[in-house]
Amino acid sequence: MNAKVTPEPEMRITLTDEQRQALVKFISNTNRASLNVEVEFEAHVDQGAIAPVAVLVGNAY
Amino acid sequence: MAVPDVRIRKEDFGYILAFATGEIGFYPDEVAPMLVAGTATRQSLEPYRLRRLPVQDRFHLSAPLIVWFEITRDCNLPCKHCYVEAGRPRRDELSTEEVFAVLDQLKAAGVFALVLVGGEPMSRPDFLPILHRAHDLGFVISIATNGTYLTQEIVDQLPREECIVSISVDGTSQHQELRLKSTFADIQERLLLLKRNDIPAALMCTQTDRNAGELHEVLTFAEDNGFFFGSTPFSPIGRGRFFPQYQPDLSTVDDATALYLRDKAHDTAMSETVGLCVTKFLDECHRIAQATRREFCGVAMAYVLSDGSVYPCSICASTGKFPAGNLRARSFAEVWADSFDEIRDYTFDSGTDCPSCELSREPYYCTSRCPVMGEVHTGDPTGCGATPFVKASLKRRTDLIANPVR
Repeated sequence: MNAKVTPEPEMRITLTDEQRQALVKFISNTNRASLNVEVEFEAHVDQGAIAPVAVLVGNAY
Repeated sequence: MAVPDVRIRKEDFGYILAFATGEIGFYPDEVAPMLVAGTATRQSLEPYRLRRLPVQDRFHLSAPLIVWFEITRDCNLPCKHCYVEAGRPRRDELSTEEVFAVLDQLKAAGVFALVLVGGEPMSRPDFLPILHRAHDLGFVISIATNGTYLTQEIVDQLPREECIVSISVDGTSQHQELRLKSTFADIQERLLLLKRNDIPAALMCTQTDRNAGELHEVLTFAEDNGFFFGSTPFSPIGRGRFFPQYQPDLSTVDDATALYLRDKAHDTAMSETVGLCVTKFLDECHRIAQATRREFCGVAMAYVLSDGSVYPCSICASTGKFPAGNLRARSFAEVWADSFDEIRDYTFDSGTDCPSCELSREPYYCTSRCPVMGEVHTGDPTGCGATPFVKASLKRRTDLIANPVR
């Protein structure tokens, strides 16, 4: 228990057959359709959120 | 089901990838061919990781990252602070087959993580079949339980991968004060049973005005035994509205801050021992909320009650605010697509007190800009959802992290 998880960033990512099929479908759809949404602003998601004080919904690990 | 190397979900901006090792990120469409070709590694994908997301009106992900699924409100404990006033089951709770159907819908929608919650989820006679169905579908699971049903027979049947047992613990003597029919000593035994069986477990605590010192002892127990730990302040909702005296006040800020800093160090170490878990998805929810300047409830999270009704989060479910429909009438995908508009209209700019509050600006990240808690505390959904304790704690924690020598 509690052995450290080794990230192994250079390990090749293997997809399941189901994932591969879904991605192939997404790729063909993406090539046909363009995203057309009214963007208000761009959110910087690379900024780390500081752990908050009050989150009732977080009461499970 | 074997743990996949990566979980993938399509979004307007590209993809969310959740790696088995625990990293979660946002990526553009360009990564898809690399993944299909089998040439992608996490390292090779890193330069593609999106630093910015386009935010439009009523922004939301294509599905929640996490769904809290109350499979029953039945519970054997009458805890004073229970936010759903658990005890008796709800009228007309979902049958086994209906629960299975909901799980199938959540999977089809693309939900990554699932919290099985109650009531006491293990009180359902079909708890194990439900758990196994959820695990077979590939959800990252947390079981939110009071721990009293845990026996060797149950533990033998728990999944060994991507499933954490989160047990509520509210102190040493204060545990029984709040939970009445449960003792810390008994819960310690149940936790050690999980440890002996190599089942990852977490101690999830509610902070009150009188248990901060005891929670330090609980955290020490977690540190000594390799358990995850988390705490959140008492909220005067559900049954808790009848016991407002437990709400932490300013006198507990110092103890709570010290606990937070210890917990943060413990969490950093423990986080490296687990791949994907609900907390890592919750961290992404916070990242999204902070970046998009709106709550993540109904945006990256949903809460399903045991009668099939759907809410943005536990606070909404507890108070009956922002109901989004019922899964007996509409599919989860349909509900998610168009029944959360009202909560999605709220942004961090909606609060009337926020413009004059320093906690609404960097470096602070205030999670109390919640219309429901605003209404609970001020009678106005655009009012401040924080108590003086929460405000002072946020300020103290943030300042100490920014300047630890102070």
